[in-house]
Amino acid sequence: MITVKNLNLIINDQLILDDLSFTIQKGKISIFIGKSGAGKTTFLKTIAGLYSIPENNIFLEDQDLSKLNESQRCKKIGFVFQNFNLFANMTVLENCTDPLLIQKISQQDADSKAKEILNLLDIVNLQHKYPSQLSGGQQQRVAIARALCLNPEIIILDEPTASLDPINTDGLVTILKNLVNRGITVITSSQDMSFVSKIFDQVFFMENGKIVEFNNDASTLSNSSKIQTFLQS
Amino acid sequence: MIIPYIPLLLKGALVTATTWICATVGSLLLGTIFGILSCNQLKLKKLKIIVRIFAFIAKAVPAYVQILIAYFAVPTVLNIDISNFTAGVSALIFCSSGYVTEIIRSGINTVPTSQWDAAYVLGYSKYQTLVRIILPQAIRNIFPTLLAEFEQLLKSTSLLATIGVTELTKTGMNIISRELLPIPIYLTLALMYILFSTLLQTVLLYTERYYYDYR
Repeated sequence: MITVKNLNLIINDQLILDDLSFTIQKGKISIFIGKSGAGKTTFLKTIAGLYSIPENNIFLEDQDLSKLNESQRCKKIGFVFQNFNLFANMTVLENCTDPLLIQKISQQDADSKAKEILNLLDIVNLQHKYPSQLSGGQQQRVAIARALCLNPEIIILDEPTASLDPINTDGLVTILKNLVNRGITVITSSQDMSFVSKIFDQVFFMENGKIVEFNNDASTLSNSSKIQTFLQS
Repeated sequence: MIIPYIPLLLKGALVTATTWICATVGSLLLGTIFGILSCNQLKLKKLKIIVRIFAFIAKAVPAYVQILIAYFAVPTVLNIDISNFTAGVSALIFCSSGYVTEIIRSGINTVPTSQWDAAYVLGYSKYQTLVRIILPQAIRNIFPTLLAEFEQLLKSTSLLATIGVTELTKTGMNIISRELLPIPIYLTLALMYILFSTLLQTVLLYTERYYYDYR
């Protein structure tokens, strides 16, 4: 469970996250929706540590996230970027094994762990390819595999459907549901309501750095006034 | 006509090769360290300014003047003895590392910041990010420019003739002053530099293809 308490974030004298307080349930799929510039990506990057995490504002179970070092944090939280950001100089397999090697895991164990995850995502046949040789959907699967290799409790995906066609989006829905079945908490942001409605357990609607609406009931999602306004805009 | 002088010229070529290797390794080491220290992502503002001043001076003063300073001025000021070879190689390292610093710095800066972010969320330290992710990509981007700089450095080794290092050009000049055969000797020197450059290009291009087979 992630608990956010009175989180404010100011970047370049601009208030980007405005007094956020909410709870993200463990083992569920939580989705942040809202217009561009609402603060969704900034919030997700803050949890991942890409913006400095203020003290006593974000808790993972009872642990203050700001107290974790890089090595501890990456084992708890995996992050998949909107543009995937695979390491261009490494093959698919190396992209997955290298983060394990720097955690002092042996080459043999790293290889076997990476191949297990690549198998799980059905991309083991791509292991010797470089990122530039892959399609967008394949790159996303590799990015998910890379994040999963460190056995995180939480995986964050920033706008995962932004560059996917409907078939790849359906594939992603299946992957995310499988992750939740394995006990992993999924946090994501999206503007694609058909994707959101297929998988969400919790939806947070963001506007100007604030959570302005919350929903955890699929049957009432379409009745939400804010979401209706968002869809019509 | 030339054949009796080939062993002497080869001896000079060996000195040129040694000079070039020492200067290349030195400038690559120094330039890489300074290039890293002055890249945008490390945000070492004061060090960056110092490195930029060093690079500016190294590039602004001609290599020939730097060689003269290293051989005549530095030993006098510091009251030390240094050989003409050491002075010449040091000057070439100083001069070339100014360019290599700028090349490496710009190479690192061209690797997208998103690669640093990806490494950070996966628990890489800044050092690990640089060594394992950024530098391999940066060097691939700047390989042709680095190759051109080291080719230029090869030609600059001939400037060491002015302080008496008997590298290829100086050896040729010695033969000419003794035997009065300027045209064949100069042409042979030119041919030997072309051979050096061809060898250098072949080795470096092979290295580029071998290590950087990703697009």
